[in-house]
Amino acid sequence: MDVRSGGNTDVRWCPTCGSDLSGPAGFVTEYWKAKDRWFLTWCSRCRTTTQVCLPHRITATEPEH
Amino acid sequence: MLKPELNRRLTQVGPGTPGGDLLRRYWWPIAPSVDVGPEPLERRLLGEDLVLFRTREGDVGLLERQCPHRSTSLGLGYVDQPRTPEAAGSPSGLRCGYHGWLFGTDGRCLEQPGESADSTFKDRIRAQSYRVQELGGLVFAYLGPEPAPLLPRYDLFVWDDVWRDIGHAELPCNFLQIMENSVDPHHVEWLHGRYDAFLRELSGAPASEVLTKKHLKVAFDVFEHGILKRRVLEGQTEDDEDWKVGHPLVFPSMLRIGGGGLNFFQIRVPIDDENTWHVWYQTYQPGGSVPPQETVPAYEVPLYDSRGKLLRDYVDGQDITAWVTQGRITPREREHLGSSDVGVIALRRLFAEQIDRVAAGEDPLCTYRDETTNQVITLPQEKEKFGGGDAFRREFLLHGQTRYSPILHDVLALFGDHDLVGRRAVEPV
Repeated sequence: MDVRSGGNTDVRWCPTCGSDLSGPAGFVTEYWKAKDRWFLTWCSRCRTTTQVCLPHRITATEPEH
Repeated sequence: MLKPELNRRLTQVGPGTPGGDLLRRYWWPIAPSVDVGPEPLERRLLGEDLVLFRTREGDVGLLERQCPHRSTSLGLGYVDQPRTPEAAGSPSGLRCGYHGWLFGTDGRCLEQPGESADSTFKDRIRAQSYRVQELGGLVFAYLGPEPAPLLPRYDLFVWDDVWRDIGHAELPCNFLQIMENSVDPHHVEWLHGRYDAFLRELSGAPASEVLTKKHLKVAFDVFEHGILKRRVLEGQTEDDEDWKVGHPLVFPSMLRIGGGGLNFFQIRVPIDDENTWHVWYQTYQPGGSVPPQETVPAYEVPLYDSRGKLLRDYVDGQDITAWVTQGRITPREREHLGSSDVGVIALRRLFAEQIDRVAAGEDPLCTYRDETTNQVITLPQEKEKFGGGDAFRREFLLHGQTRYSPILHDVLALFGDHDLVGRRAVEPV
């Protein structure tokens, strides 16, 4: 798989306040960790940094039981 | 990956651009003091063409390059005394070589030899002038709005009992990709470690032991001076200075690095969107007092060998080759970042944040307006670099761009590295 993003799944909205990040001032950078696609966002409106993960697989760890 | 419009926002440096508005809030080195004299230097900074000169009284002036008369470059000019009786005894200024108009360091037009003696035309003419200050052997310029902040007195610029020298080169690429290198610790192990070992193997020399160590962990903390970079190398723990102290990227455009009494700044000065003036500002501090320097020497760092190929047989040449071959402005929409690139992402985010601060009317990071906090700005930096400060110094003095310094062998003697004195600077250590 080409790891270059297609565009349809780009993170567009600030996860914190919902502002549109698609304009020139919206900061969205894509990077990869293994098979997971990550985005770091900076919102100039609420001034929040957020990381968003589009995971290849959701994994959970069972606590001791 | 970065959107093209965001790439432009972060890399444009000219007037009227968001990035240019941010960068105009800082003082920028524009020339080594030793190079500034009565013959004007043509310089380009943040996309603006300028001329720099020193009057006979020793003052430094910085004016727009184009003469207000008919736009000839004031680089075709010279420092001269006023010649009219009414201006006798006034300070010297920069006289345009084309028709002799004379300008003071403040941009005022002092004489127009072709106009009648009673003309007041000159009083209505002013060349755009900019603030300049000298510190530590460099001339700094400020092109931004008033009130100008203070010129930060970072420690290396003001320390006593050190020698200094200044290497510099014009690099054909945007400043941001150079800055990203400073938050990319892994490249040290590969570019300066293994690639360098490959080159040394070809020439029969042993690999550097200082630069080939494997990175186990890196971290980046945004703090008051920019981004503090930490690393744990193979054989180290979090108690070693490379992690416990680290060293900073000083926002927006400096890297502070060093060890073993060799401490330096790498300063990336945007000439325009596609060119950067790179300054290597060294201090040499063996401990105790050192003989005073009359001037801080400056030297040009060559980029190409005799075949026109970028030099890459030393640390800084390897960096330069990496930066320049990324393209004039690296196309970040085509990149593929991984988890080892989080420092690069942190820096871009910091630039985006500071651009927004300036747009909102605020001062950006590393703005100083209080004299009491600007006496000496002490920056954190490990002394036992890569686990051994003296080994770092010995490696870098001969295998960094200091190999071109005119005082290299005096510096080696200053540190007592007598076994290296007289050694060919281009010979691998």
